Amino acid sequence: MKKYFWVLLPVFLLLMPTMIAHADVIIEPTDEFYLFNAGECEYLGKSFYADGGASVKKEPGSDDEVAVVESNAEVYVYCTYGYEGETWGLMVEKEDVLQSYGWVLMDELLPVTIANPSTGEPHIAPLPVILLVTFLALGTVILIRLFWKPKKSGT
Amino acid sequence: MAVNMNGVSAALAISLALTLALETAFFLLTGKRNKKDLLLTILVNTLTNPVVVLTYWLSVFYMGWSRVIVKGVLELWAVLTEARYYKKYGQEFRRPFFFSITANAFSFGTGAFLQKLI
Repeated sequence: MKKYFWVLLPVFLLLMPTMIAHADVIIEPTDEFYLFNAGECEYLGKSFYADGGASVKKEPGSDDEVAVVESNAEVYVYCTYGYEGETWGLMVEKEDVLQSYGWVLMDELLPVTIANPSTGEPHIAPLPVILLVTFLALGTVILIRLFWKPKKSGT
Repeated sequence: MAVNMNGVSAALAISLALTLALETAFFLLTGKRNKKDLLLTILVNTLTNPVVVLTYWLSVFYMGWSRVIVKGVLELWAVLTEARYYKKYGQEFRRPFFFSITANAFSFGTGAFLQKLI
């Protein structure tokens, strides 16, 4: 198995200059337009519904319809992109942002909170998640310090 | 701007699971078999990955900072932190920095490939 590693290693090393800013896995939508224009997209992360339905396009400003949102169906918009004075939103699966559907004109959508405030987006304060990650990191550091002895040469 | 923390939690969980699986695979692919080193690799990634992902989300989506610069700084921090732990506590890491940077590159490359497939 080791010999396969040494075959694959140069490939990864060659690709490394493009990876250096992305070494860990960070989940983002895989929509092609988003991948090329992520820097100009503004994160939104909110649910909307289409009052009277909406057309989903392959990319902002495109005529290429890839899906249709049924009237009153709830959709989740990951981010928005400004195109020729119009705002387009990237529709993704709420619990799995890797699953993207396409771009929809934001003018065709209404925030869920307008229709029914009780089903509005739960904008939970980030504190619980920050605390969870902090405790996880501290717990890991404590575990390593408890069960691993530092090498003499490494100290 | 409010960030949907359900999305952040899901991204944290998926990122961590994927990173642990890939870095474990990389560890084994390099021919290492020391169980304590494998556990150390898992713990070190459990330490760095959630911090990287959460800080990325908060910096980019709350603060509006440049995603490229934020990713660069965070990933550099992750590589250096992991290398430091491998060097200090690892039993059979002969080149800890090299292992750290290639493991992260492997993790990224395979992760990006898998995302394309999905």
